[in-house]
Amino acid sequence: MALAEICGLSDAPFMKANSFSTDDAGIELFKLSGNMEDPFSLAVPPFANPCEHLAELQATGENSGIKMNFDHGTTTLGFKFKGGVILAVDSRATGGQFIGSQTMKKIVEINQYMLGTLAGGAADCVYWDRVLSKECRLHELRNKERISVAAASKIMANIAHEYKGMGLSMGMMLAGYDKRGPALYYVDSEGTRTPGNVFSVGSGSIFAFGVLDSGYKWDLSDEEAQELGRRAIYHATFRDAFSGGIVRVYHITPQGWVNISNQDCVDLHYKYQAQKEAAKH
Amino acid sequence: MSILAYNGGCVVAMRGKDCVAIATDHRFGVQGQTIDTNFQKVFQINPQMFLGLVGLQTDILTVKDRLAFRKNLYEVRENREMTPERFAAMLSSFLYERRFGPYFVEPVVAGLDPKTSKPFICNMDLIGCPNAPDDFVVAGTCAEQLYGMCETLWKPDLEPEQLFEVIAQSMINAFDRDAISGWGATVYIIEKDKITVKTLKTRMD
Amino acid sequence: MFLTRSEYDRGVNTFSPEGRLFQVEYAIEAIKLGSTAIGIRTPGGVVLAVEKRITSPLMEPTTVEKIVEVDRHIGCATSGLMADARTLIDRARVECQNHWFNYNEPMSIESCAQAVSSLAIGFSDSSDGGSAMSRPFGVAILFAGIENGAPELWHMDPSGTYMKFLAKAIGSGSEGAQQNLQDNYSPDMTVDDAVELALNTLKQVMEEKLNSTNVEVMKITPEKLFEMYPKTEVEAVISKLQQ
Repeated sequence: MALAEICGLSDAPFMKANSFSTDDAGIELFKLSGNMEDPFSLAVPPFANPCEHLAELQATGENSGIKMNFDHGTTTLGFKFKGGVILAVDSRATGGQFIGSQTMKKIVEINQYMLGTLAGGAADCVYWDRVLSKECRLHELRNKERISVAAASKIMANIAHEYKGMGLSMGMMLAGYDKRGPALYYVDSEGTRTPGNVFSVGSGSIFAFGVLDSGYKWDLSDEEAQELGRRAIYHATFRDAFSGGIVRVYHITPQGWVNISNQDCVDLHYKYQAQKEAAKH
Repeated sequence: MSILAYNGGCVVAMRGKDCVAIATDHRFGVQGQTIDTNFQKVFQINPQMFLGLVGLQTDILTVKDRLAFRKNLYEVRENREMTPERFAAMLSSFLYERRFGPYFVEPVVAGLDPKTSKPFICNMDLIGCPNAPDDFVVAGTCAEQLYGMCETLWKPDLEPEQLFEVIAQSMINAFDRDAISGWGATVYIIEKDKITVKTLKTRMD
Repeated sequence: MFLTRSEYDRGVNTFSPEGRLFQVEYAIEAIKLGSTAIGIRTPGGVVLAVEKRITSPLMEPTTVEKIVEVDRHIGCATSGLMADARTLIDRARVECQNHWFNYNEPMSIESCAQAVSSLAIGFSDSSDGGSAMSRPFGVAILFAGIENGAPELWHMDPSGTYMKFLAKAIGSGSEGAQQNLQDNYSPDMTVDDAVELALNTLKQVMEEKLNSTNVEVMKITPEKLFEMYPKTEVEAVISKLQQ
């Protein structure tokens, strides 16, 4: 065989399979199993110049009814303080004014030390957070060290940049505790990635910020911080029609994250109301 | 008119005590014109798992076939039966692959785990955002009506016979208020050791 | 064995007239130059133990990595060419994560071995590209894992063949070690018994004296999944053996 190759025999046409080779089988399999091999590779839309024309399609879609935006109202918030990072979110998923779910999990547990929040298109966030979990786990196995929040948020920002202009809709916070201490990043589908101490994302964020900014200081105790997050989300669920359901509070400490509470807005509302009444007398 | 409502139709699935039920209407239409009254949108994927698909009929058939391919690939590679949970996870990433040019279908998965017989129901939007509550899931052109009916009639821990009554009444009363769903219905009750299929007599107008 | 050797051992994709693939057989021989690795399956978990060859006192022993974590529920021990092993291990890790991504469940040990195997046999010396390697991989792998709460041990050789074992030894001391395992294995061993048996077996086949820097031990149990044995615990077992 070696001799045959030196002579260039294997290049002779009669030695080439032209109808069906094992390579073809591989290609066929790939076509049918697509992103199972590589979750980063999505199918492009079935027309030329997807990047340009997708925007047009979306614009005309508003009128023709072929809409392709999957926005959801949401309130999520996160802040760093001396005791770590607090994340708090609501749990309502809406499509227009219709409430699709009151029990959505908008905090994704990426690993024992890192959490992500979802706002924007639900499927976009769920899918790419899953991709992120996978990449973080591989990083950990390959490097024998947990990935830093900075690096993880960079992966997310790179994904957003790759699909920029094609209609992804995500606004997420990544929070965690790594070797550099507590970390909080904001990443969105426009490609923004920025570290910070206090963030709130979603349609109810303006209301949450109101509560958050008036009560926030670095030296909060753990209980105070958890209560501040909870209260901020509660007030947002009250004022913002597109936020509601359950208020979930997470606290990230050097030992990893802890789910502090999941409370129904109804219970919180009447609890706070009773407190207010009691304070009057 | 949304492309998802071009052909019409609806599917609902519910959880009971150690059982699940899934129901479909029979209509296949082109906008207002009814073409066929025997197009069932629920497909048996495994002995104890069913998939319901509503939306554009051409995509329903394509998605059904492509999923069957992926499911078979899993089962021959892993040499074991796929559970409804795995199937839903796979379906979700399958749909998201077409994020920028989606299949116009909304799926509903209902079934029991082949080993533990744990009931499972799940639905998704057309790009695969999963939602797996512990009561019921609905999809189709009369989703709002179905929500109303299910929210009223459903109770936890229904026995198979009661579950049949609840799902049948929910379905019939919901699609009777929708012009492009109905024309007959089929209910599947999935229990550990048996599957009951019942065809419902409904209004045909 | 190689007396009948002819020109048929030059290309990796040519059978000899007796129906043998010499290059693959040579690759299997290459494993026998590698350090010894032992895997033992017990009802309570799987134990992997490997010898690390510290060729120079100036070498940093912790950088020799023969047991690696593939996922929380799968650990691997390798013997043979370490550079080749890295490629295969990385494939195993990626496949495990992909499986989790697609199906939201941990990958089965057999599927993981199958995935690595399909990379291992993807060799060819033709120039049209697309193959993973131009020669067979010179590595044998022991996969230890937990599947649905039950421990499993699998072995894969350079031909890509993978099989399930109760106890298996690979590497230079494999023949003696396998015999020792056969004589001393019992189906109702505990994990601690298995660690002792593994280290005892290594002690018999290693050229150097057994100590806590030239072996690595791992156990995988349904409760705690992948766990490396810390140095102090390895020392404790070794001193127990010496009594």
